[in-house]
Amino acid sequence: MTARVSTAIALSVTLASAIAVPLRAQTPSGPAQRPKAYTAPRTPWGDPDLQGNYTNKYEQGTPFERPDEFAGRKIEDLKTDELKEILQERQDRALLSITLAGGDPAGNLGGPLWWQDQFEVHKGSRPWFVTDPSDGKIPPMTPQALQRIAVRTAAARANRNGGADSYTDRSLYDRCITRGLPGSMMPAIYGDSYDIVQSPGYVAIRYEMVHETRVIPLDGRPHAGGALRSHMGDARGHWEGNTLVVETTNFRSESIYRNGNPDTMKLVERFTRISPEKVEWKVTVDDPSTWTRPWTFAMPLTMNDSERIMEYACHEGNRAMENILSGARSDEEAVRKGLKASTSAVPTAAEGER
Amino acid sequence: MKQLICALLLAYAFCPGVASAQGNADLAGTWTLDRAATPTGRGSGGINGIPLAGTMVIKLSPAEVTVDADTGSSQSMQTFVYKLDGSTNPVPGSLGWETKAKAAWQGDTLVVMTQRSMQGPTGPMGVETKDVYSVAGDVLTIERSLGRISQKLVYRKGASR
Repeated sequence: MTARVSTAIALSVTLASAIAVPLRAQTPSGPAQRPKAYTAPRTPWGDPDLQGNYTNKYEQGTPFERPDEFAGRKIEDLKTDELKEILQERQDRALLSITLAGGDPAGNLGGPLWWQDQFEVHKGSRPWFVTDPSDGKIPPMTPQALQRIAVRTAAARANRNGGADSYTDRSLYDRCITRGLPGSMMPAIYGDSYDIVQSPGYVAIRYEMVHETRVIPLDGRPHAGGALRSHMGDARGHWEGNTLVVETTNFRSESIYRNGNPDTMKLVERFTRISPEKVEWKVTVDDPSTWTRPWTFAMPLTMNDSERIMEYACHEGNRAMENILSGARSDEEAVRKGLKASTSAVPTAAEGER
Repeated sequence: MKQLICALLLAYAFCPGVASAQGNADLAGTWTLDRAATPTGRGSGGINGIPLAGTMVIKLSPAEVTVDADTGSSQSMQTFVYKLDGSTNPVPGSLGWETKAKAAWQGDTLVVMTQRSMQGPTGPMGVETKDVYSVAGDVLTIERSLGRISQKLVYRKGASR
């Protein structure tokens, strides 16, 4: 090796080291810098200001519980590069699933799919939603709950013929009535926009999908009596520092979340504005007659004025309901004529489709 | 000179590394998906959204690999021509996608890179998958990968019974 080559190599190494240090310091995988505490703006009457147009479409495709491949790890263990890979995988899967949206395994049916909210899931924020327990899994159900669910399932089976005897056999989501709570704010294939508005003493949340609106009083009034129940429950809110805390009870059995008990279910939501464009939405599910302990999941709502809530025409275009019922009658006719051995069950959409 | 040419030709013919670079003749033929050995569908951990061939008829030539597969609507047949000159060429794909593929032999295995791209609402978007075809006896295995996801497809020689 000549002296000139050795000098050139030495210079290159020195230069590379000099450049690499400041570059590394700027990469997300470098030592974490403590972020400056964000101070949320205030409304003219002094409450933390959460108002705006939000979406959680970026969180679509996020597993609710921790997938087995991450056994033994916590949400906070999966950051930067690994999370980026996970999100890219989620994006790839979402894009490929568009192929199937027309119902044809070959992907040759269906129209433009831009109405679907699955083109930016690579901007998602986390590997799964359940934050407590720290294993990322919903706690076991109580024996009482398992028995209750078994009785309910047996009754449903006894009364149904494929779930399509009548429109009342279909889920409330199929019928454009509700996705319940918290199902109404879970990311779905479309309709993932939300609008939060405030006035002195009240916060209102409008949902694009099904177009429900929750009006949440903040004046400390007690919950309505037990006889007054609704699909979205009875909400009461208050402020804890910069966090809006909403406690909801008085659910109905038809729309209760995850087979919970409407008499004992209490949902506690926490909305905290953590940056100019993000509100962290954290939900604690507390139903001692259904789960062995309370549990919590969380995701961000991202402010985005290009994602304002749009018209939700569901009943108007619900030809699916007619087709499901007429298809079931036709199925029965085929069995009567001996053309088919038995009718087939028609799956019904669950709350929040998850 | 003549002796040298003969020696080179003999060496070419009997050197396994050189010979296998030309491909694997065992890949040719009719292959049927072994559904029991190939987990598919939602929750299988595989790669959904890419039509899966139940039957493939593979033909080999020095210039290209031709695969007739029942991946069309209602299992209709589609023909995929993978050129071996290093070029990227259109192949059948789903509606709304531009689908192109590039193929090459790597020893005994055929490697096919397929790019699917579409114009999304936020600009062009794409997905690239890699299929590695390898044959052992009467079993064809296709190792399909998409980023960090992978899926093993298993086919058996012969038409379905």
